[in-house]
Amino acid sequence: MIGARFLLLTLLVFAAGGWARRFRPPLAAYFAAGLVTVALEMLVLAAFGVRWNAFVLLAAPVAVLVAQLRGYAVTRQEVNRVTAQPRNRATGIITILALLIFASAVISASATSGDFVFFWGSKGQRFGSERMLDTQFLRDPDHAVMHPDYPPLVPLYYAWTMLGASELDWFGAMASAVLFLALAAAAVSGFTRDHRFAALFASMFALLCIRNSVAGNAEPALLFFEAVALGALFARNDEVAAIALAGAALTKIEGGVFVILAIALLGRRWRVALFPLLTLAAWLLFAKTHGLLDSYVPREELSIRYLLPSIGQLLREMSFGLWYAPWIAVALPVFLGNARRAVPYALAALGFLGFMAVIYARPEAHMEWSAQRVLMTPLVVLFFGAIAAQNGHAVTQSRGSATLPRGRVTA
Amino acid sequence: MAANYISVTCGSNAYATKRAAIPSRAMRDRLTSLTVVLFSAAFVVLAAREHLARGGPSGARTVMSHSGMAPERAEAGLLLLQYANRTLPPYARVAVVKPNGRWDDAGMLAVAHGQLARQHPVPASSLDAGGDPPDFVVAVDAPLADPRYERIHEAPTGGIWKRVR
Repeated sequence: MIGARFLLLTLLVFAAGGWARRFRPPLAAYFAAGLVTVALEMLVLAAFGVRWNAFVLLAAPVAVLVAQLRGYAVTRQEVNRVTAQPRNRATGIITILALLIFASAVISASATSGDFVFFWGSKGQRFGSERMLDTQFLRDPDHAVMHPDYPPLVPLYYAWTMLGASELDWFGAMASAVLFLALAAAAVSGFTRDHRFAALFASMFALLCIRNSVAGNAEPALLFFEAVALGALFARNDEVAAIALAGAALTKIEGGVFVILAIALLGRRWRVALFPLLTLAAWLLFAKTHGLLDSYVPREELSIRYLLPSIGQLLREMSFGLWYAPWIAVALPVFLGNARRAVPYALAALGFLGFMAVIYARPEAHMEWSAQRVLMTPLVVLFFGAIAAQNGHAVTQSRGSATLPRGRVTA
Repeated sequence: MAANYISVTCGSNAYATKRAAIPSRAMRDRLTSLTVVLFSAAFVVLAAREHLARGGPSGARTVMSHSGMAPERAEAGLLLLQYANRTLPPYARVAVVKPNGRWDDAGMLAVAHGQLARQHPVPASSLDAGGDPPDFVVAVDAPLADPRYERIHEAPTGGIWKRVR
């Protein structure tokens, strides 16, 4: 069962992200800000070889939060009335049902990834017991199978939940997948105020997460950061978008690719780009300094002659074993709305698919092992394209303006 | 769409244009809602079906009890490691090895680092000639054929062996 310590320390992540309050984000963004804060603090401490503790990790974010609360006038936050859809009982029930089914599958340990016990959880256990991001451990050739150079946010989150304990709460860590999906769906709802798409998001990704057995892995966390980032970009909340993009960069290697595509095609503003690019650069610098950059340089030679077979297999994997239903589900709202608004999202998704085709263009690619998990990223991007297409439609209808909504939104 | 609206507000035939445009938009909205709700409901049904196909709601003794290609073996293996974690002395040097599957030594070490939180996992290669033999060995799937060790615990998926010489 999930322990009280795990629950308490997970709740404290929201507190660690409390400093993001000034950007008036939905609740989910506090968790994103908290995770990024804690992970960056741990990374900085590791760079100086200092072990962490709760006081060191919480002191800075809590101080910032307290400073903000002084004289903070509680005002009713602006709701984006442009895209706001009336709450619908059917979509609410679907969202809750999807999350309950996913929670049941995860708690029953029927959606757990083998990688969780091989390296995501094991690295968390190691970092937590050593109270530092143990680069000496990662560099050991005996531990090469644990992917030492994978971005560290998820193991660092697990290590965070071990503060004051010597053992990881494995059930809690596994169940965090449910929290990530629930918060991602809440971010969709909070940023867009379109509860129909929150239901679609929750149901579609609950299904894909069960089918791909990702509980305990970094995919749920990446999905969460992507949803917050794209939601914030949609709502023109640049600061929160930047925070979530930084989280994506620290979560998985493909998160870095997502960050670059999202900045290049969707958030071409320095306020969006600066923080995530600096974070990505800081992590790469840290990894290079400590000799942890193996996976960024594929072991096998990439070859153009494998590109066509790679594209062919990628197209087959894109069906998700569901007759391409997830793609159809997001494409139909695009064509029912203003499809032109979805073009940047489609380009970003295509760019990501291109990246996948290239990176799998090698003799021992084993695309069937991982492609459907990685494909969730372009699917999320296109999902927000559907929301943008629908929003363009709503804007014209309710405001008589073709501009995207400005101003921050709240859950 | 925007052009339609401009004509609604600025044109002399504004009223007529507005009447022509709105039903189309409303219909698209309804179609979108219908599409999204239908797909969402279908995904929920498929998720429930997938969950049931994997055994449905059930208690789990380990995080891998109903996952992977061989959940029973994974569960038994993790239970054995949990037992080792509870019973072996803290800081003892422990190797986890599949005697009949040495190709998986690195994977076993990775799992050991997660599960043996109180002990000090060491590579299975430490059992080989010239290595520094560990205090204990958790042998998975097959007995350990090494005269330096004797079995102190037996489980369905393997056993724990202690160094005696």
